[in-house]
Amino acid sequence: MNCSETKELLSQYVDDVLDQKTALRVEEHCRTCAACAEELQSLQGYMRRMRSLQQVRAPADFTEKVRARIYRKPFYRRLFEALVQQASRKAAWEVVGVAAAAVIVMVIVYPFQQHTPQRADTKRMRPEAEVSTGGEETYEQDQTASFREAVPAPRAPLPAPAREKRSAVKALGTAAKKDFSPPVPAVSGRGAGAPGAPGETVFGTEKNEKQISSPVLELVLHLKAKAAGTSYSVRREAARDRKMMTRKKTDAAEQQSRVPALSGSAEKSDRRQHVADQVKALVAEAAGTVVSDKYDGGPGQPYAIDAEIPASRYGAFAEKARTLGDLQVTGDPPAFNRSGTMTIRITILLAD
Amino acid sequence: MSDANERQDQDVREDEKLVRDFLSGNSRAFDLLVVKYKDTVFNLCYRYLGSLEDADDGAQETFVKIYRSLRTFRFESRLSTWIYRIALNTCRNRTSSKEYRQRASSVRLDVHGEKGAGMPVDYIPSGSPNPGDSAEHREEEALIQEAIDSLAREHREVVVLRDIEGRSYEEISHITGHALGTVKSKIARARQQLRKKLEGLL
Repeated sequence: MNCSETKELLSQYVDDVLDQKTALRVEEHCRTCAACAEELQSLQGYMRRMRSLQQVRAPADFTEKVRARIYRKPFYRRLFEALVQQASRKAAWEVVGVAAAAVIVMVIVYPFQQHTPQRADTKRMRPEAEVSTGGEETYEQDQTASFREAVPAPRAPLPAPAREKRSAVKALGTAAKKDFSPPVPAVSGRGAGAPGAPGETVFGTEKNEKQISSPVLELVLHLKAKAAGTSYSVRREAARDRKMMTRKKTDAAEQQSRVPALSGSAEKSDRRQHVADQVKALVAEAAGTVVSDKYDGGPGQPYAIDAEIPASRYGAFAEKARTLGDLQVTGDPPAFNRSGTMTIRITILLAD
Repeated sequence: MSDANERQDQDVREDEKLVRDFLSGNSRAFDLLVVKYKDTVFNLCYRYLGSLEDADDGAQETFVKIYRSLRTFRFESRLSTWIYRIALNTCRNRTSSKEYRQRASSVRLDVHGEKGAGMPVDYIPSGSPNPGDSAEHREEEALIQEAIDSLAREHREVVVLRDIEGRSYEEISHITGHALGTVKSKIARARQQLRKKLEGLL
């Protein structure tokens, strides 16, 4: 046996797995070969050291942890059992089911609460004929189509007279056409000349409608519709919109009667100031911050307030601000920032 | 029959009884099985994975798998071999995960990076060789573990099973799924590489 063959077998030799004949040949070679004998000695030293490595033992609570891991039920199972337990004490099974569904839906829907009102707007962007031929068209059926339509085709610039008309209509600013309150239809503002300067995002106009086409949001709307137990009929929507329009007109009329009739630029400026103060108070009430406050007091000049308000308070804020009347809100409501606030601009418009 | 063989047979009979008790609905039998094998599995996981945290998690996962698949145990091999096989597969899966690979380097630094660092005393049984070792000895242990960690996976597993756990070649063949001849050559190569890495220390 030569050195190469011996070295190949040394590992098995120290493990005592060679047959007796081969083991004797290895021993014989090592007696006459210093290099192989040294190799054998080194290998035996290695074996001793490895066998003397400290054995690591499991921690004292290991068995408990294994047991806990084995018997740990999945999250959904634990939740379900907790609800069942609660139901057995208080209410019927149906109540528990509804409660669980409501909790889950609320958890999903809450972050998107600010988006949902725009869905009605996108509905109204559809041609009336198409809506009516659909009969009791369900939300599930038509949502994709309506969202697709919400993405606008490029618009040609309005001719000068039309721009003037739009400006005039905007300046008149009845509550019914304003974009401030989420349920107000964008289409009505659009038909009469959509508000908003170029590059400016106006609540309820194209940019926001594009954003509503997110699949997640579609799912949320779907879940909300389900949770509410409604089929989201387009007809019902239209009826609701008409009702809302009527209510807004009434609100505007009330507002007109509340705000003292003013005449002249100075009085209008005072009125703008008055409305601005009310808006700022509402911002403060909604735990928001007025970032800037711009008004040069000149005739025909709008009063602009930039504010940041928590997204969660926007709905309530908008509802109250709507009653103030002649307002336009610009900004990007759905894209509230990471801190959960929304940056908006409230422009107070009054006809001179 | 030698005493060692007699002990082995008795051990096998005990294991079989534990499994049969468990299958007949005695949940305490599984607790006994965990108590019997927890240190073996934990040590294997530690030597293979190189960190106590991973060993703890890996060993727990091993027993959860054992619990769930004990009904499929056919008594065709020894229970200990079957347990080793599950533990080894668990470790293999963990080392394949991206999370493990990302964490591995930082864990090594935490555990063995400093001079004198090594295994916390809590994890060393009082009956083990050299209990309460000096910092020098602990450092040496840490260096050996680092060298084991640096071996290729196929070499690391045979070194752990043969040189640390003392499993036979046949058992290692069953545990790893390699042919006996392959096991022999892998062990020889792994030892060669490890000795080279530990030159000057041994």
